[in-house]
Amino acid sequence: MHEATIVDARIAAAHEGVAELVVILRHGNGGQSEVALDQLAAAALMDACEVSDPAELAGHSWERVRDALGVSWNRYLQQ
Amino acid sequence: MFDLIIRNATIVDGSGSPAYSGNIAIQDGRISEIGDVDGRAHRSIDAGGKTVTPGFIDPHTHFDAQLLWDGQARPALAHGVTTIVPGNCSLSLAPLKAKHRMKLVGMFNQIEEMPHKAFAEGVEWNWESFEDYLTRISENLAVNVAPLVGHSLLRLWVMDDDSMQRTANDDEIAEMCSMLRQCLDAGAVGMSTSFVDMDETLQPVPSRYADNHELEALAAVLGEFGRMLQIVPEFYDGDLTIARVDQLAELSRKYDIPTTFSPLFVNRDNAAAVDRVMARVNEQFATGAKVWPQVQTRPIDISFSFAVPSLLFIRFPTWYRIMRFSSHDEIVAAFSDPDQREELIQEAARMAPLWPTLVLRQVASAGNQPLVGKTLAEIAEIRGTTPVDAMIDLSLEEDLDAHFLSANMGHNDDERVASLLNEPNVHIGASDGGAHILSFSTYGDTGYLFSRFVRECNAMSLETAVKKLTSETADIWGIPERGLLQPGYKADIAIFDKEQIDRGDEYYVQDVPGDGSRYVRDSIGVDTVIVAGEVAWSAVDGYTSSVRGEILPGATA
Repeated sequence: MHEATIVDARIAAAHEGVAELVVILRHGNGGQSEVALDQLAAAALMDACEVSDPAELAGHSWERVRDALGVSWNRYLQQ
Repeated sequence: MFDLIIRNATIVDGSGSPAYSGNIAIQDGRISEIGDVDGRAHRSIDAGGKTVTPGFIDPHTHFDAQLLWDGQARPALAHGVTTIVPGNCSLSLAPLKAKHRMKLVGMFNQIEEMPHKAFAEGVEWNWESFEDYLTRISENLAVNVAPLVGHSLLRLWVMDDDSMQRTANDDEIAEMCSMLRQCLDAGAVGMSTSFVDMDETLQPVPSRYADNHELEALAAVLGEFGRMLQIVPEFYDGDLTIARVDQLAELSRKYDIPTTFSPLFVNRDNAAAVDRVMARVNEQFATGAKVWPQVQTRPIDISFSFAVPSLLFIRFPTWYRIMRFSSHDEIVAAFSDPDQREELIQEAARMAPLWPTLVLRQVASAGNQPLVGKTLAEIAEIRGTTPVDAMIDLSLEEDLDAHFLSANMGHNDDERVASLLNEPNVHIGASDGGAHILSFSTYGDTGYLFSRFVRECNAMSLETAVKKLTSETADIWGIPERGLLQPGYKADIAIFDKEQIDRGDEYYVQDVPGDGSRYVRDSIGVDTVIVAGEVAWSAVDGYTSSVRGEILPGATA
């Protein structure tokens, strides 16, 4: 089974009036899902994928998204 | 002789029935007669054919603190809102031990942007119990308040610092249940909890440490009273939200309680996920569960300054790199350097239509105050420059403390939003009134519903919109004697021009204790707002001295 990959990424407005990055994942079974990343997670994802434009995220593994979310979440644990 | 009679009214009674012409007679704070009624009255209001409806009910607010210094919940009352539900998202101001006050202030500061100074200068801390808090705000109440008790407060009361470290044991859960029972006896309309919020040290709020056993026990207590459970789910993730819908449905069926979650909003990017959430909500309603999603009417704006990185610039690598990796002085230097500035301007040209539409919303200097509220296109014209140059120049002049707004960036597809608002199982709410006061205005969503979705989009009838904001909300929340214009009901009434009602422009006003400021919007087209038979606000006289607001549903006998 193919792993999920990023197929698109767009800027969206979050509830709190800030911008967030919505990453669209396509799964091995053909289904799609969306994951919203805050500024910290989005920056971590761009770094991990070594891209400077979110348009270049397409094709990267969902694992990059998972790890980026971890970067954002872990900041709370480090307080 | 009646106390008040409203003549020449176009009555939209909140039931969803068609509008009709008539008069409304009021006696002892209640509607006495309605329709073809006449007679003498101490006071008469000529509605002049304007629309007369029940006062609106706002089910998702955070006015908890503001009510301590402003019993009118300004400016919500002026928008026709006569009943508010504070205490959402696991946070209320009671029950609260003295030693926990500053911890709670921190949570309100982080989650609702209520400044520390407002609490320091606007709040006399003279309560601990929920009952005493309600007594305190009741002293000067012009709006009705249906208060939720926050789950995080119950945990904090019972578990102290452990409330933010671990699950509760059986004794602690029993004590929380006892506290909740006391709050419901005192008049709480339900309990709120959150699965996403954090305090000012970025630690999860106490409610997030609860396990299912604890939530079940508290839901059982809500079931004894038939009261509401409100939650904040992981709203940014469709699948997690669906899991919370299922969890709420199970609690609703098992304990026969209404439940609601907020927010739910629809963007181009999450439309499929929202469709799936609504499909699950409708499935659960079909099984007898009550799981009401709250959907706001207003679109979401994005604010930014160059002092903090914003993802709005992520498609502009040079801009984003400067914002993300540079110090304050380095950003100023980059904006000031002709070569770097030219590079930024060239890159910005890739999204040329965006910049003229941005609005300058806040500056520190007096000299630039007249420009606040203007678009960059307007400012550029005044200054004889380009919008992007104006944005850079203003940022330099304000030492990067110039704030800009990109309007209607989310929840902005009218067709999709209207479809969601029209869903029978969708509850209009999530205004967040009294919260996010430093970021955007949370007032006027009711006016926006009429102006945008009733008048401009023709997506909802006037009668349906009124029903959604009044009787439907009262029914969902079990708020008694409100939401309908019918004899015997409390005379909470809004009079407005259906062709004019709207929200005004957003502006910044310094009216928060401690010299604090907030974003607000005035109402447009609202003529008179009546609470319990007395005029509480009118377009002519403004706010009155009326203090007829009540706690709803009120203390149990």
